[in-house]
Amino acid sequence: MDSPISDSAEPNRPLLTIDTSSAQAGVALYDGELLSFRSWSADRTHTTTLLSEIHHLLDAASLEAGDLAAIGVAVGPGAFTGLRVGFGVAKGFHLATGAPLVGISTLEATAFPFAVANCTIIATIGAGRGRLVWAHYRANDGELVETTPPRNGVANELAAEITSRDRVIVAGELDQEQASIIAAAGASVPAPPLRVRHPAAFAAIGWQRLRAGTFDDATLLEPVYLSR
Amino acid sequence: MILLGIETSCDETSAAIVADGRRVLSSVVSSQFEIHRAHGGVVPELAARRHVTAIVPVVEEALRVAGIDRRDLDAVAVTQGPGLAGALVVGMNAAKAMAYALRRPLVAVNHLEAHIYANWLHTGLEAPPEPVFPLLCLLVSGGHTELILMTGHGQFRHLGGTLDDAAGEAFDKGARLLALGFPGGPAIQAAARDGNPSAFDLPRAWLKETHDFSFSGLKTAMLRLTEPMRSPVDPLPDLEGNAGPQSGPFRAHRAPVFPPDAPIADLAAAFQQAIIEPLVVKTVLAANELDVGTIALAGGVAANSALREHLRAEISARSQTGAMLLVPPLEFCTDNAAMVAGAAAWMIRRGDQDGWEADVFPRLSLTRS
Ligand SMILES: [Zn+2]
Repeated sequence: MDSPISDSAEPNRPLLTIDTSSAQAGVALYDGELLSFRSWSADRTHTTTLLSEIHHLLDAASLEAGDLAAIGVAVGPGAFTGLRVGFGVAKGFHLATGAPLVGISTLEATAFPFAVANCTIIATIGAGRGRLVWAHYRANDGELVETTPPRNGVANELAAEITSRDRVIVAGELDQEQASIIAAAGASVPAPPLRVRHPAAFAAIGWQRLRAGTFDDATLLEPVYLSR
Repeated sequence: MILLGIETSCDETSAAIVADGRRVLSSVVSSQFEIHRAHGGVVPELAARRHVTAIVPVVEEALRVAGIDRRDLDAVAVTQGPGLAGALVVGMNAAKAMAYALRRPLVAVNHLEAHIYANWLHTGLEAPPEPVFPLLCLLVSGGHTELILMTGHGQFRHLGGTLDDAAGEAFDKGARLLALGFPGGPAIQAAARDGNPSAFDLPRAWLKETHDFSFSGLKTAMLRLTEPMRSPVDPLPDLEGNAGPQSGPFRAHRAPVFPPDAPIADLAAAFQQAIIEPLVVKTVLAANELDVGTIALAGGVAANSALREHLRAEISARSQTGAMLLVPPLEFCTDNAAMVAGAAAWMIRRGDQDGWEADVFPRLSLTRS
């Protein structure tokens, strides 16, 4: 299969990222500059909406699937079926064009916008029935390091982990009640529309990986499966 | 017209290249059999996970074996349902993205229709004669047991079907009761080889005046019959496969234990006969009633040689219409993608294709007429 890996360093070939980790889905096009992104409430309609959203993005940029240097795909943690929709599309593009794949952690992308704060960041995603999945990240000179692996629990359990006297930012999918429990424990919780993960974060992380040439095996790449 | 077919509705990840709806240039099936065996049945979440890692090598292998470049494809076909939701989405979205990126039509195919179109497939250079309409199809698999009348391409009438378990499901449950392993159809067939089907009297649900079937009474009778023979096992095997010890996130299946002198061969033969008899008798009755030109088998249970032999015998004894019997090659009876690419070619000829918003339908039926 003729693979475009060799010329991925060309600055003008863009990266497409796909995030179907939860009901709020997103796609972005990035070539060192953010070309465009779309974020929409997919609920359970990822299969019916994802490809049309990607088409809008490519069409607006006068691009075709064959122009893409790589495909970034959110690996979770997240809802299994939603994730598999993103994986299906990413692997279908790979099969058709040979574009390499980059798997991007959903929680890392959630923490990414806050990396400049040089503090502990707890990234969350809803796990259904009032539960959350979260992981701790530490920002070191703008680089994110996962300091505790993802775990599944309720807001009170997350709040109990906020013990440091340093500043802690909790980002990601939180409903109002969860946000107040966590804020009461002393964490900084950004406003609702700004704390959720953004397609641009996947684009920025994916771009770093594309420039470094650290792609994932297109066959073996799979979602992160946390036990419920 | 060269089509790529993709099928991920249950526990087989498959891709195939088919020319003109008939000639199979390649058919690749990556079976998950080993993964599900320890659980005594298909675990939907495990099936979906496996499709994600199997889809790329399976499609690449189908193209390689056929010697077809992806740019030479005229369309991409994929199973839309029925099937397991988490499994279907992998194939559907991969097919959509391939069709989109290659700028080719996407054709979403009903899995049941695809099974019937397996009767048009061949692997040789010369095509066998085409089936003659009206065609009566007995579709028997792990998920389905249906009698379907096909009056022309894309013209289907559902005559009847199982009211409870599918025939393949009944085989699986019987095999579990006899500790014969999974999948049940081949296991029961092998165990029944030296058995006497008349050694035990098991019930058949005739459901006269209908084209329907029922296997739940048989399953219960088999449970009662075998209960006193087997050693106590803890916990008792649940017929639905839901009980059993917890091993990791997915339950392992613990088989019952029989003494060495238990009449397993006779039990298997009697059980197999009780499934097959209503199928073949009611199929030939329906064929006579509807005056069909072809009787066709389809689905994974069509691989059962006792079913094929009994149907052949019943047709020569009781068929009044001179209908020909069609049985697809074994590899196209069980789930495969060649039948999907095959059915899609006839759909394209009728002007059927799908848009980027195509969805999966886990409970899709064959109601087109
Ligand atoms: Zn099937």
